[in-house]
Amino acid sequence: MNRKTPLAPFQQKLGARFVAFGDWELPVLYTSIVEETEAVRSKCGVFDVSHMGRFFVSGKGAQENLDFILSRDLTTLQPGRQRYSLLLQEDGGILDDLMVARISELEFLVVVNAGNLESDRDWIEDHLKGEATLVDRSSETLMLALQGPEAERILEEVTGCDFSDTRFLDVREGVVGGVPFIASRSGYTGADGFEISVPVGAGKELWTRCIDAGVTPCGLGARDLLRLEMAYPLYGHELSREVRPHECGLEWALSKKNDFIGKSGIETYTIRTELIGFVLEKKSVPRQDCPVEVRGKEVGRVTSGGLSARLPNGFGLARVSLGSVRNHLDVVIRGRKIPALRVETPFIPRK
Amino acid sequence: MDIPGNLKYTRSHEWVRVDGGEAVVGVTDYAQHELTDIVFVELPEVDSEVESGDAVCVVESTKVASDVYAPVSGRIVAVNNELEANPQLVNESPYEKGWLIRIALSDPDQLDDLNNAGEYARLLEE
Repeated sequence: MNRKTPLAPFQQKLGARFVAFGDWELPVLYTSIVEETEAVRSKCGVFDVSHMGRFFVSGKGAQENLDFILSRDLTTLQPGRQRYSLLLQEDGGILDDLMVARISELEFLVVVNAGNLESDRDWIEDHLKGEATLVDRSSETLMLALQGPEAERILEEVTGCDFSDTRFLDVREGVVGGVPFIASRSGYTGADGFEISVPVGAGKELWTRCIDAGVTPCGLGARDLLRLEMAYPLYGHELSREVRPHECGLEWALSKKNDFIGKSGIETYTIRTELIGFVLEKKSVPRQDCPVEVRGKEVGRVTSGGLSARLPNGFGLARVSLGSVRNHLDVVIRGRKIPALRVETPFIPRK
Repeated sequence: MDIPGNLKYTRSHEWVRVDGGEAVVGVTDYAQHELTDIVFVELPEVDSEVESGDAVCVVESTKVASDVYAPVSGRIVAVNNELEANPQLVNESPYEKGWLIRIALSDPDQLDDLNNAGEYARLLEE
């Protein structure tokens, strides 16, 4: 029996269609993926992302520990700010991608992918030294992603807190109904918006207030299409233990100065592949694992693909041999070679 | 779930409307609901010959690509070109505006192998 988040009964009432996602059963859509992505790009949508992991790493030495365990330089991460980082194994292979928020001098919130929750938690705990501790609050909290141009107005309406002076990647604590929550101005959609971590009871109230305020509930189908439009990587598609950051365009997420787990592995690794963005020249829908060919020779595979109302034809990301694709490529979809063009990403501009 | 009484149905959720010696074919309300937003429909060439059970069309949603099977054998005499620009017609009007292909029947007896509305409704309950 797969797990559901505490918001499942509310989601069922809204007509959510559930789908298996790892250990979980989660809404893939409520009305339609097309309508939900349109709502995020034009007004505001809300996603229940409670299945993701939320770890609080705190105590003396928390920053030094995380600075070594995570790939990103955290020495300049101020309280009230958040950064994207990778979690690498010693040979530089990617264990996960995550967000790390500094709540205060000695307290950090690390948000990880649901599929890697246990392994990430064990890995971080095993590598913590000294007095720093990790507390996994994933089951005690919910996480909502409010995404869209109206997200700031809606968040202020439903919490009564002022977020007008927050910038992208700011982290702000607030109170709703007497219960504290943490909101970061961030998201996985490329739209303006907030990700809110909040204890379960208050989280249910917050969800209800968002729906009552007219926010569109959105599922995993919309979430995947929106992040793909931004060319954001997804673990298990673009990222895995078998690839290195430079093969994903993520060298910027590596600390230049400080040592971190995986640094020496990366330095001794010869990059063999790269991620490219492409748009099809004929109407079809590319999917993960579709072969990619150049002049009849297979050079790689699609890692993620889709079709969006905001792009003329199917589009996606592919992992190909380094330097094998200049401009033209063919994507083999159900046995047919569909011509495509390599393009710069993101596929649509970020707001 | 809409299951018009005047149509015939297959186990794989295609419907058939018999029109003289031809069969108009589409996917059922149940099928379009399972697929969700249909974004692309791949139709066969007009004049191609098909056998009952051949995969003749592909209906793609944002989630998945699904094969549509010829319920009867014959020659494709028409395909619904409206679907090129408006694939969502399959969701909005699966039995009318969202029709897929028209087949000139080579063996009208095959129609007897199809299910009527009541039989199809029972299949859905299984």
